[in-house]
Amino acid sequence: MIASRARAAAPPRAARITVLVLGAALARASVAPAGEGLAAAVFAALLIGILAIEGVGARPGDRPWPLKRSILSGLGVAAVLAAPVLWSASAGPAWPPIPVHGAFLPWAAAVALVASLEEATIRGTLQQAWRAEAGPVPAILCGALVFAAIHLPRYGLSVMPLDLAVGLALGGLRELTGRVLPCAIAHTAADWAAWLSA
Amino acid sequence: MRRQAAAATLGLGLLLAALLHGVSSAPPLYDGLPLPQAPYDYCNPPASLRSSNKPPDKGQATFPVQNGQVLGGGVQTLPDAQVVVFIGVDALRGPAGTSAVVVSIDPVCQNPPPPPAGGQILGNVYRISAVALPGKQPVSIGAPYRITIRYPSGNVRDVELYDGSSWHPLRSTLAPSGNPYVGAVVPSLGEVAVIGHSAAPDSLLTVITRYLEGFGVLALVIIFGIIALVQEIRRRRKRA
Repeated sequence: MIASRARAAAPPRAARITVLVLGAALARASVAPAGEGLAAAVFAALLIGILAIEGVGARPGDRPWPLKRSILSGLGVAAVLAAPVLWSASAGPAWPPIPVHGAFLPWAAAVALVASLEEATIRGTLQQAWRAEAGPVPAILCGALVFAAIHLPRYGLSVMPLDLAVGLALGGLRELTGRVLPCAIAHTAADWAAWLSA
Repeated sequence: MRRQAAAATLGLGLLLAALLHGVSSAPPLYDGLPLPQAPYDYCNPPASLRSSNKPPDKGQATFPVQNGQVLGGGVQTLPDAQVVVFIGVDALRGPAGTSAVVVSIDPVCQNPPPPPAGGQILGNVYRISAVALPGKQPVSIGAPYRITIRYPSGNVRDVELYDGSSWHPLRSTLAPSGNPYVGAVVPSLGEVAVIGHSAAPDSLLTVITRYLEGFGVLALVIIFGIIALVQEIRRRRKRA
C-alpha cells in the first residue's frame, strides 16, 4: 500500500531515462562508421551526461550488502558468465582466431569504463526509476530489455537472447545486493574474458 | 520476498546465459570493445588513407615431411597478420621423394580478379599456394584447410575462392563481437577474399532482419518517448 502510494507520487522519469539511454546507443551506432574508438567515446560521454542529469537512483529503506560481500558476489557472477568462454579457450583457439595488435591494459581500461558506465546508467539509474514506478521485477525486465537493445545495432539479432539473459542476471544482482558495483565488476570481468578467448 | 525474486532472476539469467552459450553461435561476451587492431594494410587504399597506408605483408612457412606425411601447422602474413592459414597433418601431399612443403600467402595487388556477381571484395585478395621440395613441384590437397582473413569494414557475405575463372562461396564464420575477421574452410589452393554484400536486392527475411537491427532501437525510443510524453501530459493535467 505504502509502496504503491510512493510509486504514484514518484515523478515519471523511467520512460524518459529509457529514451535517453536508447538514444545514446543510437548515437553510438551512427558514429560507429567513423571508428569504434570514437563511437565508444561518444557513447561514454552521453552516459556520463545522463548520469549527471538523472543521478544514480537510491533505494530508501533498503540496506545494501556490505562492500566486501558485494565485490565477492560480482566476482562470482563474473566467473559463471565467463566460464563458457574460458572453457572454450582451454579446448583450443577460438574459431576464427582473432589476431590482437595492442596492449591489454589500455583496451581493458576502456572496456571497464564503458561497462561500468553502462551498469551505472542501466542498473543504477534506469532500473531504479522503473522500480519506483512499476516495482522490482518489471524494473529488472525493462533493464534487461534496454541492455539487449543497446547492443542490437552492433551485434545483431542473434545475440539478443544472450544479452537479455545476462541483463536479467545483472538486474537480479543489482536488486539482490542493492549496489551497482557488483554488476560493474561482473560485466567488466566477463568482457575481459574475450581477450583470453582470442 | 523481494530478495527471493531478485535471487531467482539472477539464477534464471545465469542459467539461460550458460544454455545460450551452448546452443547458439552467439559471441562469447556480452559487450565491450572489439579487440585492438592496427590499421588495415591495403593493396589499393581509399584516397583518404593513401598517405598512411602500408602495403600488405606476405607469409610463408615450410612444413617438413615425416613418415611420408606433410606435418601441418600455421602460416600467417607477418607482421600484419591479416591472413592466418591452418593446415592439418597430411592435408598437403607432394610427389614421391618430397622432403618438405612450402606454403605461401601473397597479396594479389596487381590485376586482382573481378568481384563476384552481386558482391564486392572487402580488402585484399590473397593467393594461397604451396610447392613441394626439392624442385618446387606441385602439391595436391588431401583435406581442406582453415583460413582466417581480416577485412577493413563492410557488410560481410562470406569468404570466397577464385579458381581462375569464377568465385566459389565457402562455409564461413564471422569472428564475434564486431572483430573484423572471417574464418572459412578452403578445399583447394587459389585466390581467396572476403566478399561483401553489394547493393543487389536481398531476401525479405534479410531485409526485415537488417531493418530490425538498424531501427529496432529507434522503435523502442519512439515507444518509450510516447510513454514519457503521455506520463508528462497526465502529470500536468493532474496539477491543473
